[in-house]
Amino acid sequence: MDSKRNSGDQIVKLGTFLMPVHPPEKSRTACFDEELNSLFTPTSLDLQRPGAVIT
Amino acid sequence: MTLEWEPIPANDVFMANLIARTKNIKLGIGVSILPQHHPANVAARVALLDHLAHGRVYWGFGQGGVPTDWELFNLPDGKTQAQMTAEAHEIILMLWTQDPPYKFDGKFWKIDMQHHSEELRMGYPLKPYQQPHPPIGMTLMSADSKGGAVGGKRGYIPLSTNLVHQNTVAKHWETYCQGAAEGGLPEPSRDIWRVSRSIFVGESNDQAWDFCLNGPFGDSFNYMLTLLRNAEMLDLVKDDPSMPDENATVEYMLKNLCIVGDKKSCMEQFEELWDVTGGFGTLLFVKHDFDDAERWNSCMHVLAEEIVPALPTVGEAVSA
Repeated sequence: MDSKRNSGDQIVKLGTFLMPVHPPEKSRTACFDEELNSLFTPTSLDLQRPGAVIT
Repeated sequence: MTLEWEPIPANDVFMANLIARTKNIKLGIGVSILPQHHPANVAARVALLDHLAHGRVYWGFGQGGVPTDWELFNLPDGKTQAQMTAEAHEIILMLWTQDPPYKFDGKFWKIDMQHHSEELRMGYPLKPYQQPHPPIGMTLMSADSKGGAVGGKRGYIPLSTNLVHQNTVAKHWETYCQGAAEGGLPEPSRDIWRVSRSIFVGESNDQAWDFCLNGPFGDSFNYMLTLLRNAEMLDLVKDDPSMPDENATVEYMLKNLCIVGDKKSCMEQFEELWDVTGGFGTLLFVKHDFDDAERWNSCMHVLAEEIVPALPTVGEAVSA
């Protein structure tokens, strides 16, 4: 799919929906750390830019 | 509250941690389960979060559907809880938007605060940072979602769940727009529509499918299917209501409700999603258990850098 967007058009925003579903046998502390840190990965879905959404 | 598969019992506490670590991200509470909290407490806590975040908070509410939670809080049946939720919602809006005195004579929640003091500024609950209140989102599940219709009427933000077929997602927008029309609001812009999808972009189709089917990604869908089956809500995931329940498998979910494959395949699936739905303003990547951080980081990188930038602008059909 080639981008058909002209320069200056409003882009589709990308956000993340944290669905904290984890196997019960996984450490609870590890689950919480993972959920928090998932927003601070090397790419982080560009979530630090204004307008990014997390739900 | 009582689900071991879903271990975060207080999303406002979790969000408070995120607020302190971020500056630009907008954070949505999805959702405050209103029958399980006094509405005055919810109003105050969300208002506080909104101040701490300098206005980056969105709010969502619901009634919850976990039978053991209902027993833990000694709550009535689901239909009655829906009424409790509606009353609590009105109280929260009242506390956010009005000054005292406060009186609400509901069937389930009653507030009668008549003796405020202007001199002491006593009797004044905290108002949110955003005025009149934080943006409110409504999750849409079924095609004729009652929440969607109410959300449309009130101008709330529509958010489509990842647990339904894309044909159902397309109907969400119709339901939402009908609600807006009934509420006398102008035709909504698709820019406000959030569509959530479970996505994994892998190195090859075979690798992506194996990773999702035989790991926590697939396990989470097996868990969700079991929950929905027990709640007699399995029809939710079906594109065709006549589909037998036994066909609602993890494989079915991955093939019909998720976007899984290599980059080329995922792009084709996004094209189809775009064509079927007519386009939306925000794609919400559903975060699953990061059992392999490297693979998930790679997936997010491709999604953010290559796939989403190639999506058309709202209102522009892919095939145009």
